[in-house]
Amino acid sequence: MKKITVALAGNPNCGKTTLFNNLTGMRHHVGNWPGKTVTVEKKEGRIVYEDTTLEIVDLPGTYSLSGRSLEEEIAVGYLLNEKPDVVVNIADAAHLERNLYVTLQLIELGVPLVLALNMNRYADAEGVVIDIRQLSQMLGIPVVQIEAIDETGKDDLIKAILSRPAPSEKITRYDHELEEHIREVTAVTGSRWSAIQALIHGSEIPEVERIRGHLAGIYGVQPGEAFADQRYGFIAGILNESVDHMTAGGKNQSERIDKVVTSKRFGFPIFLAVMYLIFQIVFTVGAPIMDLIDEGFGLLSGFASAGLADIAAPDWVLSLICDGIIGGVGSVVIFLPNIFLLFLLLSILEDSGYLARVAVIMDRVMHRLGLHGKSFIPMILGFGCSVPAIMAARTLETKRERFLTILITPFMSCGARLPVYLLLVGIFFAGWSQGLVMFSLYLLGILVALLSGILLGKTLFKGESSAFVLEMPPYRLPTVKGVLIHAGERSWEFLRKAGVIIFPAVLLMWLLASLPFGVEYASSESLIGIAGSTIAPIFAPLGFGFAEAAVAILMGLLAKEVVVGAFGTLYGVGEEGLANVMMNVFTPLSAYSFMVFILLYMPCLAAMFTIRQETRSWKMTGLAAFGMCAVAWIVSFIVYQGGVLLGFA
Amino acid sequence: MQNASVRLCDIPTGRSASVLGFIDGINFGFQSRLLELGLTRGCLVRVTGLAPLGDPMMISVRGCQLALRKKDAADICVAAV
Repeated sequence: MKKITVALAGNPNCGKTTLFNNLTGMRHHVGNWPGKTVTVEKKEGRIVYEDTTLEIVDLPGTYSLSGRSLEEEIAVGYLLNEKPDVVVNIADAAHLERNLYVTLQLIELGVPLVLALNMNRYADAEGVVIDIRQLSQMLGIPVVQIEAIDETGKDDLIKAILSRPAPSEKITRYDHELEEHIREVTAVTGSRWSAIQALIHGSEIPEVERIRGHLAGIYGVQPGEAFADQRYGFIAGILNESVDHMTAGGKNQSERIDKVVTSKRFGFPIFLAVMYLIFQIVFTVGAPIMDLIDEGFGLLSGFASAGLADIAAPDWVLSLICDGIIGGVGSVVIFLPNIFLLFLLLSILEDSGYLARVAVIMDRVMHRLGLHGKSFIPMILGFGCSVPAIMAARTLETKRERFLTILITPFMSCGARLPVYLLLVGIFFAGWSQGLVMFSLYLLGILVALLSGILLGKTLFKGESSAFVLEMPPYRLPTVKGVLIHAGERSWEFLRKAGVIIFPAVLLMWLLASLPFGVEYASSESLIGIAGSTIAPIFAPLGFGFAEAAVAILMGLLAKEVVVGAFGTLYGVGEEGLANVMMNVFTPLSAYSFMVFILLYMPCLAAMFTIRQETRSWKMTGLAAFGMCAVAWIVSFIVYQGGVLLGFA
Repeated sequence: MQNASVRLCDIPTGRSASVLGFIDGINFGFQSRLLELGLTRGCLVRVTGLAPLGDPMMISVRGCQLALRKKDAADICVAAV
């Protein structure tokens, strides 16, 4: 059995990941590119074709191979160091001009290349006719037409890969002046590629800098501009020979849609309607499935305790399995339907091209706050679950903006906080004010997130928000398969990450709630109960300075939905009896203050773990943990003391 | 080098302009990104619209739609056509 490695490269939005998913199906795994300060997703998979195994690696989407952004650095680093046997460059046939820029760079890099033209049906619809043979001849590489979303051209592509093409000889020739100096610099740097990179981006070698100055004098612009000019000139020449454009230019369909979707009059109403619809669907469709899962875990727990009682297992084993493991894992799994639905809908938004418009619509507001329009996307995801939301900050280009976004995203009210609100709002507020109280909490989360963003941006993360250039991909109808794979993958990642951290944490919490030996689970004599009464005075100025609230807050570190269960356990009552108890210990004001605290304090361990993973920094993780607790305390203090002053107590 | 000319941010929606170059002192990374996206000299750019709050602006370049802030578009010198 032969084995070859194949790397997929190309622009963002060219259908690269769709092709990857289609080729490898579910036989792939998602990992991370190693050795970086922040995480970029790495996808690898394999297919077997006749007697050959193809190991496929999905490189990050890039507009260029200059190595300036993290994604480009990773892509170039992989191509130069790992030397894949074949590189497949996926290009959007409807936007060939821009897409060929990377193709020229790949040829310049000297990798064995196949060009796969994708989205040909959109090119057809726009009247673009591409002469494949001519294009192939001019680029000196095999060119195949595919549709990444179905089977079209898949065989041709694999055959082209298996033909193991040699690196193209049709390397871009620049004008005499540039070529002469490329030769000169190549003698210093060792390769044509590195010489061109040095001439474009500058270098520490004085000789290269001298030549750059000389070129700038001749062209009247930076050398980089001269290279880009000539590359696009070369592309124009290729397109002239190999592409026939039949329709006269004019507004395309996406532009027509944008005339409405990003218009002054409808832009925000449509955005709000879409958001509202998403939350409606997530909560109404998700609720019955959640109930089923809840019942399932209840049954499981019942079976387990009955089974354990039959074999006369000691009480602590019973408690470990029922309270600890089944209860703890159940509290995470129960959110899976919500999270899957949310991801499904967000994938549809993303694949359709609408999410890029959201970033554009919101940029003005975000920019005022020193953030980036793209930061808004993780914040929206944060309404579902902070874990994937924090991961979504990967799309931000600078480290400053990534870290800022990661730190403020957990303030968005995630699904796990909802059970706490549902319990307390149901008890202390009636009628129309219920919705208002709920809404105020969500709004408070957004406000605190934005204010923290401003504060952090002015202190720890000084700097301008980076220039905003965002491609607005054409509107496309998402495919069922693509959306399902996307949502499935993210849900699985949530589950896996949550599992990795939740399971040991559950055991630890259970242990703290069960020790010293013989105490009732999570009672005031247990370690956690003692810890609760010790820290309870801290919460007195917030209106809930009693041990049970403190224990619930501690347990909430595990996962915020555990808070409700903790009250149940602590007071030894079921959900029904809880209302009476709550009435005795909380007032409407202190209940509200408590909800504010739950909203804002340190997120669950799974989210903290993700912050650590994504920032690779304990300092950032510590800052998030401490900062959020401090913010929660301060805001709750203001709410409670302010409420007392206003006579709400 | 082109500090006196019309900037891309001055072009009204629906109108086109051709790129002349960039202002001195433009952020190097930003300029490189614009060049890679095809905003080279002589390239035709059409302003397709503004975001609801008036910023960023949306442009069409080499068949692709891009959004950029007016503040950043002020770094691009153009000639209205």
